[in-house]
Amino acid sequence: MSSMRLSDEHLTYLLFLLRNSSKPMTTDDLVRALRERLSR
Amino acid sequence: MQTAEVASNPQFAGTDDEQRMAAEIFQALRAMGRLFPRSAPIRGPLAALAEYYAARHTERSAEEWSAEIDRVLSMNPAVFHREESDDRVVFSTTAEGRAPTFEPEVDEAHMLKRRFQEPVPLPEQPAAFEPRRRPEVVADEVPGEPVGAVTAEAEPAAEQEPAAVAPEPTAEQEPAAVAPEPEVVSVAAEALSDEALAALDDAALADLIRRELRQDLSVANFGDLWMAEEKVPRLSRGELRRIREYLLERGEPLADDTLAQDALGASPSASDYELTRFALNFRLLREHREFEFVGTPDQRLWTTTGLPTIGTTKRKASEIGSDYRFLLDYAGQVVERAEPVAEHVLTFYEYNLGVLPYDATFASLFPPPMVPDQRAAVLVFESPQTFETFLVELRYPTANRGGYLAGFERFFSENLVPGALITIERNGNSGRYLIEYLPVSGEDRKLLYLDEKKGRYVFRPTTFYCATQENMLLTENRFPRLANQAPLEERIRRRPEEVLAVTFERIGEADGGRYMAMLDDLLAVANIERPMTAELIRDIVRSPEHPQFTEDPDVEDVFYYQPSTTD
Repeated sequence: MSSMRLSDEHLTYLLFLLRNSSKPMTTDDLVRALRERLSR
Repeated sequence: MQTAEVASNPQFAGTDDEQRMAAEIFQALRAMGRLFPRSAPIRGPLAALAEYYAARHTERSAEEWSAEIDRVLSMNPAVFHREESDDRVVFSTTAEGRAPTFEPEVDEAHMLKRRFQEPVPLPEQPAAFEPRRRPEVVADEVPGEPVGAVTAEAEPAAEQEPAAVAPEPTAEQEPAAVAPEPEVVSVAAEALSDEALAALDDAALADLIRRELRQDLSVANFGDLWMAEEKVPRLSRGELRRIREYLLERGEPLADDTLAQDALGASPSASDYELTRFALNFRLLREHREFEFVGTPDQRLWTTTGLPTIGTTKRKASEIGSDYRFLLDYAGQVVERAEPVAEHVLTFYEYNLGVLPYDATFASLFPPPMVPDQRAAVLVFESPQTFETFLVELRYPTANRGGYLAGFERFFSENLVPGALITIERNGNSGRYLIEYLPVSGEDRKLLYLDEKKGRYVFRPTTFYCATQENMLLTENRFPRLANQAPLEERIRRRPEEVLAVTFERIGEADGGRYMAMLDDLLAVANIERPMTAELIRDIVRSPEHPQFTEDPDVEDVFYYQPSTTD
């Protein structure tokens, strides 16, 4: 597990979400958003 | 100012003719190097010297003079240096008339011109260290391509899948290739493909996200909340001062909500309230000197320097932590419990100082540290039986001190006795707990106390109204010899095995020079001086390091202590 990491594309997406959010996001919010993106 | 050149005329060997020839050639060479330093070599090829000489002395040709000059100059090695290179002869001398001394060759390897020509290769990056590439996030880069771009990205990712799998077979082939590479110890983290990521469960994905974002300095994090650091409002000096003054005024740790509303004037109904609260938590976390986070995920409390301490004043917090150090050795056995309830029997030590151990039982009930390096958490305890609420400080374990909870001193002394059975239950929130005991009709016993004025243990008639565990009750009937005993010195108290030895002497049955005692008795009485668990006592007795203690081979939990004869 510790040898895994997010790809730059996914990390970029998370950072994008954080930068465009006016409120702090929970880890669950980020998990949901990433899952939604993966399902598209 | 003019400087006169000091001309030196060397002496030459040979006949007059030979001396004249040598002198003439010397003058010619010196004329060539008239601007040279006095000791710098002036070089002249033999052929050139012969031509020069033949031009002035035409009776012979240059070739004919050449052999003669070579012979004559070679007769004067003190003046001329002869060297042969590439089939030609070169003579050299200096302006001062001595054969030049050739200095040892200068190592130019480290000279600047060489260094510029051949730059030193960069040291290799260690394989384990992989600098995290910060993806350039531009606000309108990703959103501009809502659906189309995402699907377009998905395809190449799918195409890359075989390539991502490709290294595995090679890794499998390697053992077969006879030359294994054991030196490759650290493996760089592997970026997960879309498929691998989708296969992770929510908890694993959340862990991965937490780990990734914590490395990124541009991301602000507090607990389970994340935000871009640059978008988190900063607290002004005045705001920090107001928060601190408000904490001091109220005299106890306060929740982030209270501080945001009362000290910063934020309204809970405002649209940016959550942001204000996050900013308060995130920014205060960086003000280590004045503020300290002592909260839990559900109750984010803050304290400041100068607030009254929670816990006993009878013993220093660091000393209690050292007393509980042995808990670090028994820490790995945290039990997951179905219900957030824990039962505990109070020991004399716990009762006296108003503390409870942060042992495996309680570690499963109380929250772990919420922020890195969190020293303590302040928990709210409610007693529904006495209608009181009080604050308890949970001190987390450190590298060399055990964890414990402090702040029960008054509650214990007003309601309980050593040996009482208590129940602690989470009250729907990781920061709030209920403490209860089983009420019973009054019971009168003569129980052990520490008379602090006299510095002696005494038995006093006591009426108590709580259920107790008989084997932990310190009554006069059980341990009459404890009366008027003095508490142990600090240096003995620090060592569990010495406390155990003294306990044997205090309560054990003398049996031919040795003492015999049962575990229950040892446990109850050893805890007068310092916290000790049944496991710790068993381990000390069984340890080969302490041969003075032995176990009864036939009866379980009956132990012996043989005092050293040299004492």
